[in-house]
Parts: sequence; C-alpha cells; structure tokens
Amino acid sequence: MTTSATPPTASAAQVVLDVKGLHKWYGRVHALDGVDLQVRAGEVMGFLGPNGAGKTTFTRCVLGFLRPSQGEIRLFGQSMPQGSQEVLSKVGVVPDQYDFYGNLNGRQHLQFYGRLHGIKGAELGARIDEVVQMTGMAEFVRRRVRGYSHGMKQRLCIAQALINRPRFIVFDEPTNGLDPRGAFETRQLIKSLRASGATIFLNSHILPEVEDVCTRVAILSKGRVVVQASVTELRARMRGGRTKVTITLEKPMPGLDTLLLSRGVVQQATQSGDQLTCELGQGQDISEAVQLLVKQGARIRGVQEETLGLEQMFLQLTQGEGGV
Amino acid sequence: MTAGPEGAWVVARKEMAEHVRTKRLLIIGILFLLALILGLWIGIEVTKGQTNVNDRFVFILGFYFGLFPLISGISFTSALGIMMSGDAIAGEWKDRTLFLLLSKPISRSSVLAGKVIGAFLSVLGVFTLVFLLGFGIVLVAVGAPGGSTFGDIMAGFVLVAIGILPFVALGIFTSTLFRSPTGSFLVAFGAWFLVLPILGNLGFFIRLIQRDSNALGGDDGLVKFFHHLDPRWLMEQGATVMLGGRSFNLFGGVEGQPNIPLVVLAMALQIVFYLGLSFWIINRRDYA
Repeated sequence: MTTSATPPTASAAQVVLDVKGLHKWYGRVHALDGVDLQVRAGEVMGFLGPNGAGKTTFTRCVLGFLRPSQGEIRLFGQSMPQGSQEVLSKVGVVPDQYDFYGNLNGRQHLQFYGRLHGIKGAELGARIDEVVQMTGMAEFVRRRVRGYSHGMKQRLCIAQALINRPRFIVFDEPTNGLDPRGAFETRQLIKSLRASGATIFLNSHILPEVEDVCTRVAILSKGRVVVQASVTELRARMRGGRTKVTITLEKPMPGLDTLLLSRGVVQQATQSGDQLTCELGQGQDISEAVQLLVKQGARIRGVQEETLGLEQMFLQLTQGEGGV
Repeated sequence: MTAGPEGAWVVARKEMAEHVRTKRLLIIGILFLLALILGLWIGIEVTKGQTNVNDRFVFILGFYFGLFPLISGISFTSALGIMMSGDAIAGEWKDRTLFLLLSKPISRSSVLAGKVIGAFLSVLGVFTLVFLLGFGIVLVAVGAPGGSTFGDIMAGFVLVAIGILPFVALGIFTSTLFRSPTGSFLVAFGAWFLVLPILGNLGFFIRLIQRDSNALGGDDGLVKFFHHLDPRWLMEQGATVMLGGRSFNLFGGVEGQPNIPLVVLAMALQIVFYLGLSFWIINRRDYA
C-alpha cells in the first residue's frame, strides 16, 4: 500500500495547526510516536484511527491539556502549550469527554464560557441567542443541565464551542449520542462553519460522516500518521492511479473482455454473465470502451464507476489493528 | 481573552453560583444554625447571673464561636472551608468539566485563584450570616455592648474570617493531588481532624514527655510555636479577641490578648505554603 506520512507543503500563513515530531510517553507506553500533521486554513481535516491509536492524546496535546514529551506544536503560529491562553481565544473545542455543572442551566453555562473569552454585556447576550439558535437548544436552555439528555448536552457543548466565533474548531465525535436529525443538523452546521471560513479538525468514528464533511483526512495508526491527503487523492493513491468500472449488458455476450484488452482501451477486463468489469489506467476513458462495445452490437444497460469508500481505505491502511 | 484577575473573578462567580445551589451548603448551613441556637442558648443560660452586659455579651458570642467543642462556629467554619474547596480541581477532573474549562483562554493559575476566591467568599458569606444572626440574638437577649467591646467583637470576627483562608488553601491543595474528590476530602479532613491538631500540640506533648510541668499552662515558647502550625488554633485566637483576651482550653484558662500580627503571619505562611504547592502542581500536571 502506498502511504505517506509527509504532509504536503503549505505556506506558513495558511497553516493553522503545525505539528512536528510529536512524541508522548505515558510511563513506558509510547502513545504518540513522532506525529507530523498540518491543518491549513479553511479546510476540514478528518482525523481517523483505530482505538488506542493516540487520537485523543494527540488532540489533548494540541489543546495544551497534556504536555508533549518531545516535538513541536504550533497553533496559529504560537508554540503550545506556552501560548495557549492567547491561542485558545481563537479556538472552539467539542471534546470527547466532558460534562457540565449540573446545578447551572444552559444559559448560565454559555454566560460563563463567554465571559472566559472576554465577551460581556449585550454582546454576550446576543451571541448566546445566536448560538442557541444555531444549535437548536432554545427550548431547554433555561433548564438545569442536571436534567439534560446526552443529546441536549452535546448541543450545549457545540454551542459553548461556538460562543467566541472561533477560527479553528476541534470536534471530537460531535454526533456521538445524537439522534439522526441531530446528527444531520450537526453535519450541516459543520459544513456551514466551513463555508464561513472556519478551519475544522474533526475526530470521528463515523467514516461516512468524515467522507461527507471533510476536505482532507489524516489516519493515525500506532501513534503515527500513516496518511494525510484529500479524500480524492487518497482514493487515487489506494488504487495506484486505476479506476474500476462495471458495465452491465442487456444480455450476456461472450468475448467482450478479450476484445477490450486486445484493443488496449482498458488495462484489465473480466466478464461474468452480463457483468463486464474493467480497470482503466492513466489517460484511459471508459467512453472509448463503451463505443467499441456498441459497435460490436452489445446493448448496454448501465455503466458504474466503483467508488472506493473511506471505510475500505481505512481498513486497508490500519490492517491488524483494533476497531475505529 | 480574559486577563488573569478577570478570568479568576469569572471562575469565582461561577463557583459561588454553584455553591449556593448545592445541597451540602444548605445541609451544613442548617446544622450550623442549629448549633448556633444551641450554643447561644447554653451561653445565655450559663451567664444568667452576670450583670455586666459587656462581659455577658462577649462571653456568649466568644463561647459559641471558639469554645464549644466540635459544634463551635470555628469548627463549622473551618470544616466548611475544606468542604467548599476539597473538590475544586479533583471534582472538575472526575466530572470531566475540567476539559471544557481548560479549553478556554484562561491560565491554570487563574482557574485555581478563582476557585480559592469562590470558596472563600462562599464560606465567608455563610459565616457572616450566622455571625450576624448570633449577634442579633445576643443583642436581644442581653442588650447592646459598649464601644470597645464592640471593637473586640469586630476584630475577632475579622480574624476568624481571615482564618477561613488556610482551610480553603488546604482543601485546594489536596484537590490538586487527587483525581477523585473522595481522596482529596479524606486527606483534607484527616489533616483537619487529626494531623493538624496533633501537630499544633506537638510542643505540649514534647514537654509532657520531658515532664516539664511549667509548660502545661501554655506560656512555653515551644508549645506556642507548635500552636501556630494548627490553623484551627489560629482561628480560635479570633474568639479569644472577642472575649477580650480571655480564652479557655481543656487545661484551664489563659488570660491576655493573642499576638495578632504573629497569628496573621502564621496564617499567611500557611496560605502561601498550601497555595504555592497547588499552583506548582496544577501548572505541571497532565490532565488526561
């Protein structure tokens, strides 16, 4: 499998998060083994890895909860955790583990977190109304958090992360525990935040979700980033530049695979009943193969390009490790 | 971004808002109130024969706040100081509220400072309310004290109020040591109930072993030095001030006003010791 741990180069101005050679030991356990990762402005970076790969450790190091054993973390150009106070004013965080103060209500929480960002008075009130609207928690915002369901808490958590209009948002399993509508709305919210120019770091177990909202993905395995690329780039890399297409015929017609191969319009072809499976190399186009088949009298019912899912790619890249 | 003191004040306000809504403050407040009523009633009954209003007034109030073992105002106030601070960091860590707090632009030192201020002001609020209530009850039962007696009472009140801080600092310190509030409370209350009183009387025990009967009156230098290591003894000096320099212990009475600057210095050193260690720990710890 062709993988690369080397991030693509980007100018310093575009890079929001720049991590180089990050190591973290817990006693003898080497949780992070020289992680290199870059997140550029405006992108949604999906962060994947099997259980125990070091995703949470990495996120906590980035946010300054944990001190790196070795390596460098720069967030908005500031070294972490030394510059964390200034940097965190531009950051919103939805952590994987959190809870709220049960005796306070949702609005009191948002006031508290807003004030910690230095937002006050009428501006704070207006901003709270805005995030309450965005996260759909108007109905329960004045209720004590003690009575909240997990889904309600998740909405409050997202609301507190947005209170300061962050430029970089860390989402750690943001749809965990949400009902399908809540999960859909959260994905839409992430997309709208991306559209508004925010940079997003999404740690998710739900691979279709990552595929849906992320512009790039990084896969962490055994404490190292094994791949960092856009989903499209990753697909091309996994296939070694080949595209797989399945042509379905109206009725079986033997010898078409040999024909396509002999004319050199495909790299590989196999026929099974009414299904003709072709692999195209660089510069080959399926329309040429289709025209040739039609000339031979074949009646085509459908042509479908096979999409290599993120899940398949993930499983190939993290072979032998635990679940996501 | 919030500057250090501003951030600390935001945390302190949240702490107070939370404390006001907790059952533990309500429960201990009710117990405090019942103990106050009992203590004052005993004080009023015991001093029925006295005609001097000033003596009677300070005796009843000082008796309750300093001399009534276990349920005295000082015992309650010091215990409340630990109770409001013993889970300050450990509780946030265990409840996972710490991760949201640490993701905000506020330094760990400001978080800790806010916790100290919040716990101190919460306990001070309860203590002030109970004190004013007690003061009012004695005022109705005995009559108004004279000007200098009133001054002693206020000075004693201030000394006891400052004495809350070493207990808050102790609770904060143990809360930075543990991931669980249970461990933190066990160590803090163990220190409050056993370790610090033993330490405070170490000089006395040493003199006992040496069979030095002169030291038992409490005027010995070594005995006095060790007394200053017990924050509850320091707090009790507030009650001694209220009593116009009279204090009593299991071994008899001691006359004379305490050395207030020395008492305040001993309190300040304990606060600096516990909080210094707490700041050092919280700024170096990994929160995973």
